Amino acid sequence: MNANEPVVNDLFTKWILDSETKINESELINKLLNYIDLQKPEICGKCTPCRDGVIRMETLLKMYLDKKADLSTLKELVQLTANLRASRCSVGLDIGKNFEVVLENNYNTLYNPVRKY
Amino acid sequence: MATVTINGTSVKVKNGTSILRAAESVGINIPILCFLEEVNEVGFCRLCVVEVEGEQDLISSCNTPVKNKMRIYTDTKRVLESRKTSLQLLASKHRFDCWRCPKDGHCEFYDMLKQYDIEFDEFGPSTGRYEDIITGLGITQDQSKCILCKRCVSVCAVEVTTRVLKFRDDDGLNPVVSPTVGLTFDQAGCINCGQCVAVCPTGTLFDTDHIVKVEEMLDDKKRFVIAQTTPEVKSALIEEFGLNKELTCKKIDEMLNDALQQLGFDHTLDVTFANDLTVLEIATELEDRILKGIESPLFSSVCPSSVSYIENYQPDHLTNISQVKGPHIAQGAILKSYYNDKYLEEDKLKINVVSLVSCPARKAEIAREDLEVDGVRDVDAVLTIREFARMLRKKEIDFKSLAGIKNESYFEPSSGASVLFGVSGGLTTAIIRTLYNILEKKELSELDFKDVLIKSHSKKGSIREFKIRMMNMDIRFAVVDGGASMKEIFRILETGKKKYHFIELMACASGCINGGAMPINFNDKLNDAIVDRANLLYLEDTLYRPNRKAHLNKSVANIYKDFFTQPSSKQAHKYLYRDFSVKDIRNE
Repeated sequence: MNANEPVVNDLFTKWILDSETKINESELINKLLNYIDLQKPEICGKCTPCRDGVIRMETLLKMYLDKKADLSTLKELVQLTANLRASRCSVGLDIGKNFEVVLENNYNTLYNPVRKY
Repeated sequence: MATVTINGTSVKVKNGTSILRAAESVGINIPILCFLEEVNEVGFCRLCVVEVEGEQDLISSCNTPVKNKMRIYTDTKRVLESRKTSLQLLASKHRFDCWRCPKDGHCEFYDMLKQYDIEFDEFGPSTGRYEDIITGLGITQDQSKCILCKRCVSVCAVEVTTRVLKFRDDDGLNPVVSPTVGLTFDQAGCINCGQCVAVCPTGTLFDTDHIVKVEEMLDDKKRFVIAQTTPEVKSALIEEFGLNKELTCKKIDEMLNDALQQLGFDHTLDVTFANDLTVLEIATELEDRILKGIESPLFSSVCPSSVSYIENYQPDHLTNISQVKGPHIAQGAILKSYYNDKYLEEDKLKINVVSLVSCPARKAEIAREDLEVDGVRDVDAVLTIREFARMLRKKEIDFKSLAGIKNESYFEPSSGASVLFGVSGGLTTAIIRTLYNILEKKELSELDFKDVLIKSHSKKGSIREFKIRMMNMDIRFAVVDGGASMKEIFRILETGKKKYHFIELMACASGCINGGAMPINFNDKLNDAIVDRANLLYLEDTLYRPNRKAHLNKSVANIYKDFFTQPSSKQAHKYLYRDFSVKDIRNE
């Protein structure tokens, strides 16, 4: 982890409390990837939405960085985020809730690079 | 009692009832993939999630008890979307080769994907979570198909109690279900009962394939291939091919002969002859122990899984296992010697014996070093019912429409006792009927014994006791079925509080009719199916067999006259007896 990166809670407190804060695309994606990286050791591997879903979300975010994302990438990200509400424990549920906030406050940042018109 | 509303319907259920069961009580089915009542209620798959009013998150219905005034919704858009996404995620880590999958049309996962119309555009079909194939003599695991439901792990721990399969989640993101890492099933202490195969919702766990071996035998015209079938197979065929439940064993036997001959087998017969022979040998072994006053019980060796259980986990009792071979093995030895010399007159090195059975343990059993006579293997291959069905499909044989051909066996019809072997308590029933004759030198008139045979099915098996007066003493029997019950009986024996003369051990609850390779029945249907399977065999014993005692089988009398001279003779030991040894296993 980069020492200059804000700790996870600071990052999300900022997003949750201040929905006006806008972040550019690559900064957002990197922060999310970093967040997933931090959460990975906590994942127990028992339930499907968290074990397989979070890994898939990571793959989708990397597609943004590689400029390979399209509308279906974003759709799938939304779908997987919603599905984390079906997780077995608070690890998956928390990841889901945090991603819900990100999608709510920064949807355009993720939508703009994949919009078609 | 709690009153809950499910999709607008109000229902009163007992406190502690799960949402899943409450919904079922009003006819609402919730999909499940990992759930097994009382065995695996872990909520791993998340397909049974529902929405509950006042709750932010989706809740798994299989392991959440109802609360009074709960308002539950099982079919909202949010719930359905979640199920679809979870299924897509599972499918993305599953290798699809359904057309050649051993699950062969009985795949719960496939049915679920179909039911929810799962597309792969977004996730893409996968090459599987792992590529490894864990081999075993009876059971094989293809890890590319595992969806980590943990059913097999729970069954192995709770029902079988050997804990061979484990959920290894040291790395949370890449968990794996396997026996001891780097070892085969047999090296890890698996008893090959196949209960894990029966509950696997995908084709991850399956019976080790013998089809290729059998097809090679059938293709080689120089070989003389004999098929022998066990009685419980007939009850399985009714379910496997959707036959009329009113059919008798005799009719199914004829259809089976027809099918086996069309597959290319040169000769077919039933193992019931060897069942009768085995009863006589075990009863003689038991008589010897009773007369010598040996206090420790004689354990049956008919179930190969229970033999492996003692060898692997209870080695102190090794000397008390009956040394008589299992019936299909004993019959294999007889077919290649006495039967061939007297009736077939083939070159015995060219004879191959293939058993059609209900459990994968017999596949492992035939590989044992001690099961051969003068360097000739007793049995060469073992087919399970599922493999047999696959072979028929390959040759486009429609079993249901077969007219049937009369059994070719040169043996006289066997006893009613011999068909009971497939049911827990059947062997004990058969032995009591014959032991009485041996010890008292007269015939027993009452042939049905209270609580010896099963009446209903219990997942965890049971221990049933029976005593009968012979030679002015109580001869005590115990019938033990299911892994958990086997563990319990050894605990009871250790305390020294109970003494038995004979203990029938069956690794599968209810016996071979619930064997790991019997037709797949999901959840609640299994109990009824097992009772039907048992009733078919009970009817055969009580209604259709004129002789119900093993020692009155005319062919058995003939083989003693012509070949073995008497039970437990030197010749009988050569062909019908075996050895046991402690196995070097590493169960970690």
